[in-house]
Amino acid sequence: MTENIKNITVTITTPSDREAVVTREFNAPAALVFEAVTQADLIKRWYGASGSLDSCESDPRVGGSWRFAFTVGGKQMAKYGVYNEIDAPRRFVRTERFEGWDEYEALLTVELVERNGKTTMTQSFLFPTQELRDAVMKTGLTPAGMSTFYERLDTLLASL
Amino acid sequence: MIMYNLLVMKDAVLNATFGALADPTRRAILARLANGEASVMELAEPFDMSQPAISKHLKVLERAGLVVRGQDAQRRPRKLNPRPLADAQGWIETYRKQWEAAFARLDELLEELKTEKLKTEKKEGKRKKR
Repeated sequence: MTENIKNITVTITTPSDREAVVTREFNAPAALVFEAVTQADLIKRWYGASGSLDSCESDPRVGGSWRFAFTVGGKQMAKYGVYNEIDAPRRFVRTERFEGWDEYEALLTVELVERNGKTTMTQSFLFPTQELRDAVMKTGLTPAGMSTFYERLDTLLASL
Repeated sequence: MIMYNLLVMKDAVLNATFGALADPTRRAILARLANGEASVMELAEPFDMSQPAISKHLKVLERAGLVVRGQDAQRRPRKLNPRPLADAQGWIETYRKQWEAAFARLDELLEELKTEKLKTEKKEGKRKKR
């Protein structure tokens, strides 16, 4: 079934030096997509590789907190923050910090636009500096991205 | 911290690459070198620019690692080094691929949720008829 879908579906843009914007269309109504990206039990089912999150908490209310914990290369890490804005199923804004990478800080704005039963999701990450944005884009800061990064780091360190 | 420092180092290289590519003359020089090595004189010809002006651009390209010097000591030809260009493109591509993988899993979840919802609606519909 997925073979029919063309390979490139995600669009990445950098409208400014400190932003990274990730856009993708989903074959589902906005209400469902909103649930899948804000409800802890559902986030667990897709975020990172299957079963890769050690724990997942999410309280999608204004002032509510969220936290995704995972283990990469034997190291425990977590992304966490607070929801600043919630307008289900159209929009939410949350802060992002990273346990294990203190310099990391971002403001994520997610917007959902539904048309003919399909939903376009736009995730805009705003970082305090261009350096941080570029660094993040290279690791992705997802469990999968982090493992790849650590593998590369191991190879590099072994070669020094 | 190690990770961050390594990334910052890589960033400096990438910034130099992007800076070098920002100028149309430098892009034209790279396009010319993509066809094979050339001396400074040969490079200056099509641009209607002095050799010192071209040398300046070449220096920027060399600093970014995009251009290297060939073997011939007399002609001192310049050659294209495609490695940093590949890095600059690979950077966004890696990030994109990670989201592709994550969203492929989200697609599967959404399909499951749609099926679950349909089942519940059918049950509720039957209940209403009675």
